[in-house]
Amino acid sequence: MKRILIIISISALLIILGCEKLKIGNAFLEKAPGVDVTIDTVFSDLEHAERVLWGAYRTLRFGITVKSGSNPLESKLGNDQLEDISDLAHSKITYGGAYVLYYTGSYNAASENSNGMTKYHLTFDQGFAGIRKSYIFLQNIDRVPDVDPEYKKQLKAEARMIIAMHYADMYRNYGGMPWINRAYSAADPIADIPRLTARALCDSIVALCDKAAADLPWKIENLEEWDGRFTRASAMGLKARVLLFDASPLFNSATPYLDSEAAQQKLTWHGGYDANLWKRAADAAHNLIAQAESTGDYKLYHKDGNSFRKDFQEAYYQRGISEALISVRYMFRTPTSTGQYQFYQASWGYGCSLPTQNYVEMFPMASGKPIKDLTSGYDSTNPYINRDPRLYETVLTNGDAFQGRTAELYIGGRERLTISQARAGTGYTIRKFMLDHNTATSLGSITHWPYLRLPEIYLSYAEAINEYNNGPDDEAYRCVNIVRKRVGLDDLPAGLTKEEFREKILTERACEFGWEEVRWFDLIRWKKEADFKKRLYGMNIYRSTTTPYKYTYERFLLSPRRYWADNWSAKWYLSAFASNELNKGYGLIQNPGWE
Amino acid sequence: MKNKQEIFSRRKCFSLFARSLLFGIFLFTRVSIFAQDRTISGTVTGLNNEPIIGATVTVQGTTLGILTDLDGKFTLSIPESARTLVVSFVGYDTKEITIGSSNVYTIVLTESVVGLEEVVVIAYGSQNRISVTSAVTSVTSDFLIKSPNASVSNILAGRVTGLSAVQYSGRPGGEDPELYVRGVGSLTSSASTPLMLVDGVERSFSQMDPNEIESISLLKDASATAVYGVRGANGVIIVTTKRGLEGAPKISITASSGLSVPTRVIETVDSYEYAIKHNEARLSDDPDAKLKFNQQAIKEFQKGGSLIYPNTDWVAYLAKPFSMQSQGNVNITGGTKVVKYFASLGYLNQDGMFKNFNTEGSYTFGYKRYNYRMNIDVDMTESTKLSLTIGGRSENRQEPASKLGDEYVFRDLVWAVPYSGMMYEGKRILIGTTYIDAADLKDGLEAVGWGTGYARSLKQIMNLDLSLTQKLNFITEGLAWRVKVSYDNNSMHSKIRETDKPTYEPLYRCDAVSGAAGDSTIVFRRSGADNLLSFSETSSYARNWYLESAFSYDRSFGSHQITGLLLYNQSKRFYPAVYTDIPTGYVGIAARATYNYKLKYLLDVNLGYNGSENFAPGKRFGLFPAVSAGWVLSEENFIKGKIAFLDYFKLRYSFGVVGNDRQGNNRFLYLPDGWALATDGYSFGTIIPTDKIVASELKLGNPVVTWEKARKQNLGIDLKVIKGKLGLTADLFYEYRNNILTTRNTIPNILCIELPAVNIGEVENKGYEVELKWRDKVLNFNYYVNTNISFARNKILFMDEIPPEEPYLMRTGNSVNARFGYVFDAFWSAEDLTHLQDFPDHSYAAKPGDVRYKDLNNDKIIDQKDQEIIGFPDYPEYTFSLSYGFDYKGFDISMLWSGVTNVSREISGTLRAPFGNVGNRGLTRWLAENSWTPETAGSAIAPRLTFTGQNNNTKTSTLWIRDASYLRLKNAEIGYSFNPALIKRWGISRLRVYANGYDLFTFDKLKYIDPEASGDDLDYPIIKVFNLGLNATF
Repeated sequence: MKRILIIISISALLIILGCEKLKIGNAFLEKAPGVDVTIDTVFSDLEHAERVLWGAYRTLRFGITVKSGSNPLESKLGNDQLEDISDLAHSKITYGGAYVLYYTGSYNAASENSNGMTKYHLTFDQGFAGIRKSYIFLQNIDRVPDVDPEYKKQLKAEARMIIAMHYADMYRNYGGMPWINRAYSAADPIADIPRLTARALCDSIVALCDKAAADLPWKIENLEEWDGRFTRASAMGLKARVLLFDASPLFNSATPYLDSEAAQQKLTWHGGYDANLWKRAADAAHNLIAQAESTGDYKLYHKDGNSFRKDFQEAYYQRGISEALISVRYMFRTPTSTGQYQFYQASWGYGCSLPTQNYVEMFPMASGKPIKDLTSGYDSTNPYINRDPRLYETVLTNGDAFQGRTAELYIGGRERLTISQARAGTGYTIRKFMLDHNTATSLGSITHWPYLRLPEIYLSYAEAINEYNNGPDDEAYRCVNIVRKRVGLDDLPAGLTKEEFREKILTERACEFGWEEVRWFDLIRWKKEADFKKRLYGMNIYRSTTTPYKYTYERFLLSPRRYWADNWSAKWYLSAFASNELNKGYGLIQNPGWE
Repeated sequence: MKNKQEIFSRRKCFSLFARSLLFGIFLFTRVSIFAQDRTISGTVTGLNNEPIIGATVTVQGTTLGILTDLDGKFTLSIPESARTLVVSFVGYDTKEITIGSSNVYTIVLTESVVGLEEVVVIAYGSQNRISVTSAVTSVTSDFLIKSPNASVSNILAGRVTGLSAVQYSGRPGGEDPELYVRGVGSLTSSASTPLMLVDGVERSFSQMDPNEIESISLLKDASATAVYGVRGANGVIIVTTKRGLEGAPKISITASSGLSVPTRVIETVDSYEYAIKHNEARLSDDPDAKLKFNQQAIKEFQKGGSLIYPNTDWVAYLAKPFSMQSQGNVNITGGTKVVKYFASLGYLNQDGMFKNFNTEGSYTFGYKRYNYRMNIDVDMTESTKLSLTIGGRSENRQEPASKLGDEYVFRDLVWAVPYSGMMYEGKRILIGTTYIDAADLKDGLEAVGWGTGYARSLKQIMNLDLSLTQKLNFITEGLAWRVKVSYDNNSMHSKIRETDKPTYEPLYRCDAVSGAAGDSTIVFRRSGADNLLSFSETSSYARNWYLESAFSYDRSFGSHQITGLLLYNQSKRFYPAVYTDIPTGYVGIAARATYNYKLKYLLDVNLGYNGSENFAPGKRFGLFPAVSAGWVLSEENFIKGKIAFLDYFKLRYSFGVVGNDRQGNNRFLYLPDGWALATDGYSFGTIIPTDKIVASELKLGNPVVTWEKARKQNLGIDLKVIKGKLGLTADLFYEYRNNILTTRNTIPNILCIELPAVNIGEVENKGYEVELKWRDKVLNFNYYVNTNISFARNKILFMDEIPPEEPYLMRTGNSVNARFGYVFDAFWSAEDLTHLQDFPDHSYAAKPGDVRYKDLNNDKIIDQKDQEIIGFPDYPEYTFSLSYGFDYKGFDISMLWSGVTNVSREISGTLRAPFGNVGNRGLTRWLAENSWTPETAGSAIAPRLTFTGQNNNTKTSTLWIRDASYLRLKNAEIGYSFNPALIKRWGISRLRVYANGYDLFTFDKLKYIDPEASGDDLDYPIIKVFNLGLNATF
């Protein structure tokens, strides 16, 4: 017995010791991973170096939340979209950023300390991350051997465009920003990184665009493989967008929108009114329009056989068409499950991006006449017929074709079972980007987000020249009418005043660019205090119990009323810097009205 | 010299530990005898007449002596001149016997009151309690089997001085608490968990069978933990399993069975109250609001509900009044001189608290555990011992495959609204929207995963240790060498079966069928598919190796006793969470030398020298020294015998450095700036489905990262008075930890640098522990009273904090994990709102009954700058307990009261947000009863019921911070042991029946949730257990 136990035990010990290669001491500790990939390996050949640039592309702003999780694609504004804090839409997600921070008015500098709930977060929204990635690329690409110098120029121009785009987004949210001029290392001493003035930031962005434009191809030749890369048209378009913002009254005014140290230091104000800024904006836009029209490479999308609706839908939704000047992509196809497609789930189930009645009323009749025009033929007892085709493609309205049937947005209908339900809680739900809310269309479809489309340039030109000339000229009319014509609307009536023409354009932009993050910036650059204060409505639709069904319409006030509607302050125009960042003491000055 | 008699030194094994581990007291005396004039004989026994084997019997003033044999007998030739015999045995008081005319003596030794017999397990060995100079608390296993809780860690709570346990959940198989030794000493509580060892190898012990456990030691100061070097900073818990004893096989069988009931359940209101309160809340937000519940619904609810207007108290409906729990163990121990064994088989079964509606795919919680162990020691030669330790368990967990996530079952049950539905004739009734505006409701049956299937997981844990000890007396007396190899294998396999079951919407027939006007019979509209169960499975596995080899030395030279230890160890864990493909490795050398003079002056030196993969070569080895000294004053002549009641008095002090190499799950902290070549992609083109690969920069490198170091001091006393009846142990400690691995916070975020861990944090932690024990016997009445109190308070000294706007917002200088929040001022009254200018701006249009906060910085605005530290962290500063018991004529009763204070909970979730934060969840009874209304404005303790005001009202504030102090009857037991004489004829040597319980009573201030639970509505309730059992030994 004893002998057997001894034999068993000793052999077991030997087996155990023999199983693992016996190493002792330092040799026993494992070699660390990953040391074989360093910045030197990455920039040792073009294929790997390009991946750094693709990584920088991946930081570009994507306006709708695609995935489910915790990055900006997934919970930007805490599940909501930028439109939800404009007058176009309303969110019923009580834990979302729109509701928690903006509707309740509790947004302040501390809100920017945490991630993901504000409309533009300096790090969560990847802007500075993209800038760092671009600088890493710019600082190292010259080390890569055997690259065609022309191609290298193009790559560098693309990296500059990424920096310009991020700064353009920050410019519109913050005004002047600290200018990062290189990729910092951990060992770099951190001196002050003060904010540039609004003027200097705008000029820096424009300079990047100009420099990039010189080196970028006018258009992508191989769209099937490379659509989505920057072109000269992208650079010219971005420049036009930034200059229009720059010329707008928010910064270009005799007085600052709100006085503060930031305004005095010209971080949020140019220091006076300069009409030439409108000219500069108009010229930038028209340069692109002229080149686009002369080459014919870029035009508003139209396909033979398409209806107006189909044209408009494909114009914003499809890749590879000549209308999107800057197209941002995160994935080839949208997720196939609703739970994975955050915007799908949030807009359909949780109740974000519910179009307001106010928005629905902005859309004119199919003829182009506003519904308030007594001759328009608008029938308030049958409000959704004969309207601007873009209404149906942007907002799901009662009775429209939907999922192979008609949409039931009346209370008790399939889209709006009860009056308190979050889904379709304004009496509408979003159609844009969501299409039929099903697997056949919105789920698993090839996707992109049009960061900048050509119609914006047409409208920007018209707007800028209208301001500069104190009224529209023929070219301004022509440019607006190009946009209207694509969806079948009549031309704008002649003889509009400067103010009338301006309002027409802003409405046109709202109708054209819903969920393309245009409306918010239009409201703030024009300091549209009245639009912030106005009452927002939804529509309760009731169906009669007997056939033939009759529908009655009841406008109702949306709740909660936004805090700023009753307690307006111009501080809302720009974002606050995170209080933590201010307290780090590297020279940030807070935007007006925030502390 | 032919009549020279030698008494060989022998190792004396007085206890299990001394037998199995290399420690003991060696008596080494060479005694010569010159003359034998007379032969005397005798027996040495203890008080209860059992023979004492190996006691030393010497003649005073000579070198004559002998050891007693297996029957406690001795025979000795002595000179006529001999007058006194000296009989000694470790653990007993030495006795002097006057040699009279008789040649036969019966000598009875009494157990030493100073606890000389007590052996405690320390790092890599064991030591007599009397010679310990560090802060070590050791407990034997007796009490472990008194408590019916399934987790050994919970049983420890309150029993072990210096250990605090926080149990958040009572989920079957998921009850393990968070443990802290001497509170929290690092920058976060999660970085402060102690090292846990089973039989010297890092393993979890919570789910072991308590019957397998011999003792548990808690190593608290640097002297005790320095040999663990890198891992010792947060304290060490060592669990030692039972081993065999020489003797006939002894079989012990224990079986018990009990009932478990939640200590507290969050109560919700019924449909009627829900509807009334919901409407009230709506109207208080907006007098013109459309109401969710119409008069018809309210009337129906008031009548008690119906199929169309359900009224279901979900917890009462779905939970059983109690659930069953049973435990069983059979173990056998015994052995010969050569082979000794201990084998044990254990079983535990816990049922969950929910009913199963006997539908395929509908399952409740359940946990079954099978523990097994086989410990064998073989004395291969006189000097060679081989030990084999096999232990393991398999854990079977069953959970509903709730679509909402099984960890949220209880939360979803609280979220469920009472009017959603019920079971009816085997159908799951779920109301539609025809009669009630029931959009987006939460249903109780959905919460418990009714009909959605189940998940079963099987976790197998197998531990194998093999160790060999060789005495090297042929080199030098007292030297031994041992080697130990351990292999742990863990695997987990889960089967998930999911499905859908249809729901049935109840409708009056007139509303369901056209042309049935006026027909109010109820019909059901089915929705959803009735699917078959799907099947999927997942598995995971892990294995760990451990190797240790040591030389130990233990020898006495007269009054000088020396021990030494030099140990090398290395361990490898496969499949860690980060870099799964690269196992983690540790290597270490531990050295210890102890010296004592007559057990009066004691000195220990400990060294740990450890290497960690987390640091760069050159930085990866760290040296952790500690010294401790003890002075047994009661042995000094100026005290000994002078103070009558003082039996034992020791002063001890230790100082040392221990380390930590971890920052969360991060590994290889020294890596240079790294790059990942394929993380995400970017989709160019129009028809290319594959994304372009993206290269991303990873964390920047910090090549000089190194150990976090904790300098610890401990001053303690051990005191025994009144014939050892009263024992006192008191410790005072101070810990300063620096080089804490953390991340810089003050770098501008806009640089977008992902920073590495740096050694910059500093925390101090100090406190004390006092333990008092009284044990006495009055006739046949044995009783004891033990009490202890532990206190630990920490302070952050440096954490690279961003300077806040106001000094009171600083974390530096305050407790780790301190909670910041607003300070509740009052509920707004209608009158207040008429002169808003007198109050700070809340950036919110308040209504009467909303929360007003204090403007701490007087800037007339309530914002983040008006937060200060509120309450205490989640872990307690004070832990105390009182245990007492007695036995008398076969009856025994014991109780343990345990409590904590200086601890807070923040209540959250539906406990503070009426109808949840989305306005359509359950309403907790507490809120319904305590919310502000115009009538209760004077006495309300919660704000008005509101939807739009929740953001303002539910901010973290003093309004929601609760004192979570408690005193609870953690454990009580009453037992009866049958008279051995009566049961002998059945071959039973011991038979005991008992009843015991866990968490039986709680005194606290929270009332509506358990004071240990986390304060939100998430957790499975903590359960109390009433248990009946029987133990028989053969």
